Amino acid sequence: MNKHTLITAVAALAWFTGFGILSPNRTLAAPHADEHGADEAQPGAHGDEIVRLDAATLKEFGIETGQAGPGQLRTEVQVPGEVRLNESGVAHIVPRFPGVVTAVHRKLGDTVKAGEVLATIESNDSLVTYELKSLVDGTVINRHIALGEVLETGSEPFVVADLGSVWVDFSVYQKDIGLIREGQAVTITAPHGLGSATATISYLGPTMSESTRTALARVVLPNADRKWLPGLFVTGRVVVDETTYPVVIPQSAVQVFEERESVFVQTKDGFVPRPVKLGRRDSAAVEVIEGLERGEIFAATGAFHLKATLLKGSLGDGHNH
Amino acid sequence: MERLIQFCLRSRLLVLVLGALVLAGGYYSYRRLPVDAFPDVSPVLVQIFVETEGLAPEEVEKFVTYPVEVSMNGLPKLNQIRSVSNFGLSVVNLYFEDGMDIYQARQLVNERLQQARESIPAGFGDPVMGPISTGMGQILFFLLEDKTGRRTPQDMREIQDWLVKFNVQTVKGVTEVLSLGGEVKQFQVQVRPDDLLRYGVSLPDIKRALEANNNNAGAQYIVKNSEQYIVRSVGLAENIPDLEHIVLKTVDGTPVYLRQVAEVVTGGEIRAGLATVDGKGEAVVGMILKLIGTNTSEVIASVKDRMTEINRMLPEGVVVTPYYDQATLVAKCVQTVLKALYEAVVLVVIIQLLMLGAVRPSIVVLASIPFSLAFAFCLMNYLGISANLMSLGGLAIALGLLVDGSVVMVENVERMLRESAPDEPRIHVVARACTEVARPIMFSLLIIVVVFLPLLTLQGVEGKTFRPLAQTMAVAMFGSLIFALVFTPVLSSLLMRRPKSGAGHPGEHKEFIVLRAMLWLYRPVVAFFVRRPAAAIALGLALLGIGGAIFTRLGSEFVPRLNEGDLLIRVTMAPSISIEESRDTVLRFERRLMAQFPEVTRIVSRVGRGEVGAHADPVNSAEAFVALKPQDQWTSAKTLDELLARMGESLESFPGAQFSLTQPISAAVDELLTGTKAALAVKLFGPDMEVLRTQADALAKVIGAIPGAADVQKDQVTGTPQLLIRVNREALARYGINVEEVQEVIRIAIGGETAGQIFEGIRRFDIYLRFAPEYRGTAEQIGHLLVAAPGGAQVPLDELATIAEIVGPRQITREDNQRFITVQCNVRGRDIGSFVADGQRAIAEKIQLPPGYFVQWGGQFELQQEANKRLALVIPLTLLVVFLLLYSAFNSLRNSLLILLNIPLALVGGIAGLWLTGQNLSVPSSVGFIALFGIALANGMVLVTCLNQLLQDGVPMAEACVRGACLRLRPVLMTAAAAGLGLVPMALSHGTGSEVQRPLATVVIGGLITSTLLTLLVIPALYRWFADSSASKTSNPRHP
Repeated sequence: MNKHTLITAVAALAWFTGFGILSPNRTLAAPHADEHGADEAQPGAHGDEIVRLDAATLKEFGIETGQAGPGQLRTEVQVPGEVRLNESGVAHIVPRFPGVVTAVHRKLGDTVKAGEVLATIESNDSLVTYELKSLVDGTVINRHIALGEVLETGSEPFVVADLGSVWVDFSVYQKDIGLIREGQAVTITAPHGLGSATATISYLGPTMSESTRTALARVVLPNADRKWLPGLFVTGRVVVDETTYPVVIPQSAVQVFEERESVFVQTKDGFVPRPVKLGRRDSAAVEVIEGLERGEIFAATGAFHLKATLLKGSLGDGHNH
Repeated sequence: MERLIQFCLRSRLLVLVLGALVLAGGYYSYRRLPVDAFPDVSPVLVQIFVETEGLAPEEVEKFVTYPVEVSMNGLPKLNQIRSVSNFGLSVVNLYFEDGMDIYQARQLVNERLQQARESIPAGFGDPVMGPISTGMGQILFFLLEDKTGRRTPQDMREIQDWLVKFNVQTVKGVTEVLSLGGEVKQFQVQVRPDDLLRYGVSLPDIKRALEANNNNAGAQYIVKNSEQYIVRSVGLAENIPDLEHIVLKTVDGTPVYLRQVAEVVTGGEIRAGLATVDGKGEAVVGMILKLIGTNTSEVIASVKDRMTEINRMLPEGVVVTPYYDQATLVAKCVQTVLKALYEAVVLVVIIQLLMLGAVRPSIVVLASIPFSLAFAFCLMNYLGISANLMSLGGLAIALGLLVDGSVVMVENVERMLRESAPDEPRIHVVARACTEVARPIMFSLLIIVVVFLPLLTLQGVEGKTFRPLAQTMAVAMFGSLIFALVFTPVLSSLLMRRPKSGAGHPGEHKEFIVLRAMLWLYRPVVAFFVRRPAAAIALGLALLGIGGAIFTRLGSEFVPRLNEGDLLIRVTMAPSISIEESRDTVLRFERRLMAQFPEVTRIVSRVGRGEVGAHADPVNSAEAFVALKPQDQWTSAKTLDELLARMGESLESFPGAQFSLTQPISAAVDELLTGTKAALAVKLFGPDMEVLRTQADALAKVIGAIPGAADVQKDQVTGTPQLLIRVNREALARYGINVEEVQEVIRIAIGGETAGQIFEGIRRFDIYLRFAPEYRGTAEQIGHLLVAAPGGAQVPLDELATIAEIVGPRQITREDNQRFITVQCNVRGRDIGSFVADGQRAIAEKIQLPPGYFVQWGGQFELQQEANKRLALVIPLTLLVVFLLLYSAFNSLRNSLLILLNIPLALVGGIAGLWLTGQNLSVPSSVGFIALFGIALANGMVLVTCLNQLLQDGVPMAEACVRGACLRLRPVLMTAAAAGLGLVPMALSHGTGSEVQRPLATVVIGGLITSTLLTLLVIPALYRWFADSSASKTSNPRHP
């Protein structure tokens, strides 16, 4: 119901009274004179996809440019891991004969040298005393011994481990197995800011665990300051590829425009969206295989606003009716 | 008729008491009338909102919207179901037929909601009905400001929700207070997945523990020494340490506390909207909705009172201030109309005094105004019509007409008194005089009422806008009819005196000087035309020709825009935008506008949606309320249109956002109205979004190629990016994991889940369980989330599912249970009917729709066709009724036709009036035309009655024409002048709301000038051909 009707009504009234000057065939402009604004200007019209913005606006919207050039991409694989004792430095100190403990010389956490006496035991059979000596340089990490206790053979009163280096065992999931090789560098990060370190993979397990369906990748980590506590969960990032490509741009420069990945290239008139073919990527950057030449200037940050400006015409009214 | 007048004259006291009662009742009703700015044009709408945490539009549609829609099908008087499935929100709009009682509609909906609740899967949200309000219901917006600048967004929102909202909600007439902005405080349990692994705890374990360690219990009572003690156990967690110390499990007597695997902090809820102010930053705002049918001004006044109280108890430095309310607008609108009314009264009084030349008759005539108005107010109160621009406008228009009946009667009484024999009792003379004109008066007033009937059949916005005007006008006219028939005789008999001198000397020398002067001018002219009817015809035709010529040059518009005094700018940004970027963009826009337009005093913007109940907008859309200085202090522009144009220009270059400029109330109303604003909308219905999209593209092309198509636009339905995690069922099978387990990790770890509440007094805050941000922030991190397999293995998500970035729907809109997409266009240079026919043919030929898809044509043209059909019936019917009234008044076909001739004569002046004042044809001007017809017909009747009378008395035709015309000069001029001058204030007014009434008044004034002129000159000239021969014969004493 709008003025058409009323005008028709008026006309009809006139007509019925034998008065025909008001013909209803007048064409009227589109109704709804309510919408003002930028509807008419649609910069997004096809064939004219260019965004012209002055320097102040570029700054206001945080749009910065970069020059296309070579760059290095690091492809990384993230693997969960756990710090473990370096088994090659672990010694279990056991009694040769069952006997009564007559003296204990070292307690848990003590640092000991190889050959150092840890405890004295009187043999049940011969009543001869003998000494339990450390087999390695290291730290007492386990002690199950008390004065007067009868130790049977098979008991394990001391475990001494060399904590100067630890193992970090990583679980490699199936999808990553093809990427992980011995000798690759791993960045190891412990949670809660407990530190990080870099080492290389020294061992890759030949089988996969039946229960977890992961393969083992091991790193031997020096641990002079004892900060890598065995049992600690860590995260490893393995750089599986590190190559320089001719054109590498930050990922923030890539916008999906008209369903294609595009980069906004600066021409002398303004920014123009250019579809690009992308190659490898890492967490921050991406290789451009096709579409962007070395030396070209593109919008490195704030490219979203350029896209949004081109979309202006098609935004319509986002409100619900 | 005669008996009625006799009866009234006999029981004068009764009549006077009755009159006093009506006046008192009118005053009482006037005080009680709800006062609004404009008539409420909102449809009868019940909204159902379902909030669903974190669900994408597709899921919302499937699991929530659909069940709600289905359960609502078949409700009585339900016109249409429309729905929007948005990210995290489903809105179903149920449009009922006009006139359906809103409470009954809600009752019915509520019954069905039970059914809907059962079919929505558990945990997907609970459907609730929207507030009992309308588009006009958003009466006040307020801003909560912190002058100290030290409070966090959480603090502010807490003050808003628990101090301000809490206290405003209880004000009578407020149905809902909706908050927006700030951050809703919650207790966040930010879980570290590494530690979950280490301690062997799962997310569901934590949720269970939280729920099991946060309760109070009641345990009846015990009796101690004859006294009764109520037993209660307190175990509610009250603060962060309480939560941190919840034990998750115990290993060998060592408890694992919550704090070992998670950090508990207070933080802001995930939000779908925020508010910004003046380009400075975020703000907390609130919107107050009034209950349907309450008095806007009263509610606003009590809300403001309450706010003063609240301000006193708010913490130091925090103030709540309204930044928009309808009260000013209401006051301005009412003031505009009342001013016009007062001025009209003064003008009418002056006219009466001038023409009647005596005080006493004038008093009788003018008493008609208060009586009719009082009568109208009584009925408005009874019919529930609120006092607003339109309804009061109707009274203002009617004002000049209200005296019509009494003028004619009093004039006749005065004449008869002058001419009567001195010994005849005055009361007899009065009775005689009144009886003589009672019939024509009744018929002429009835005709004025009847011509307004087509207006009552208007539908939609125009109907709701102009119906109150027609109603109050008709009611007031009816009141004046009662006054003329019942009260005028009584008052005349009481107040009017016989002229002292010249008694018994019937003569014109006693007539007032003004009238004599006019007669002196008029008599020779009318005599000339009666002698030369050809000249009269020529004059008439010439004027008609001019009118016709001007008509083709008139522009046309819809209802002229009302100046609300404030602006609302809608900002639409790219559909993929994040809420933070959206905020920054809006802030930049606000800064720009404030810098460029000094007349802007404040901008408050709403980005996305706040608490559900009023808006369902996604975060890429914002609404900026722009407060302006008074118009006389503007510097950038002089008029509203100019300012809007300037702003539009300036914003056009703004990158990345589309702006549309409108005004607060019209925007709110638009939002509730169904349908498209374009003339033509082709809706394509069907199940698949992708098919809909491609087919709509094709449709748009076909339609664009049809000659006459303009502004072809199709809905943009996609554009919101999604991170789609699609589980790999084979992988799941190998590990023995269920889909549900994977999705639970996704849902809780990434999205989070509420696990109980913390109470602080009556304030309650959610406990929200979620992974710490650094474990779920990127697609890569999400891929590394671990899922526990039954064997004890921890499998990362990307081993079990593919994670892809896709572009999904912005929102899914449905109508009548079907998805649809609209292609809309306007039609220029040809009529819509043939365009639609062409379009339908072209689509049938060129587009092959898959099964299940169909096209529907709609838009404004559909409504228009419906309205045309209705009017095609109503208008002839109205004319028939008018004709029957005329016929029963005159008993003569010819007389009736002669009177109908007045209509075209009146049209000419109306058209000329519009043209001269540079206005367009519009809905209000059309209403003016209708009013004009009534007045013109009434004028014609007065004259023809008199001519018939003279003829009956045996006066020869030619002389009768001249004498009759001269006799009736005074009443015709008086009624026309009263009606016309009564509208002059309105035609000249420039106050708020005058935009709508000015064209109306202009048409009536212009039309009255030509119509009166032509009535007085052409009708006497043509009368000889239209005189009823039979009537003159039967009543001619010489031919019994």
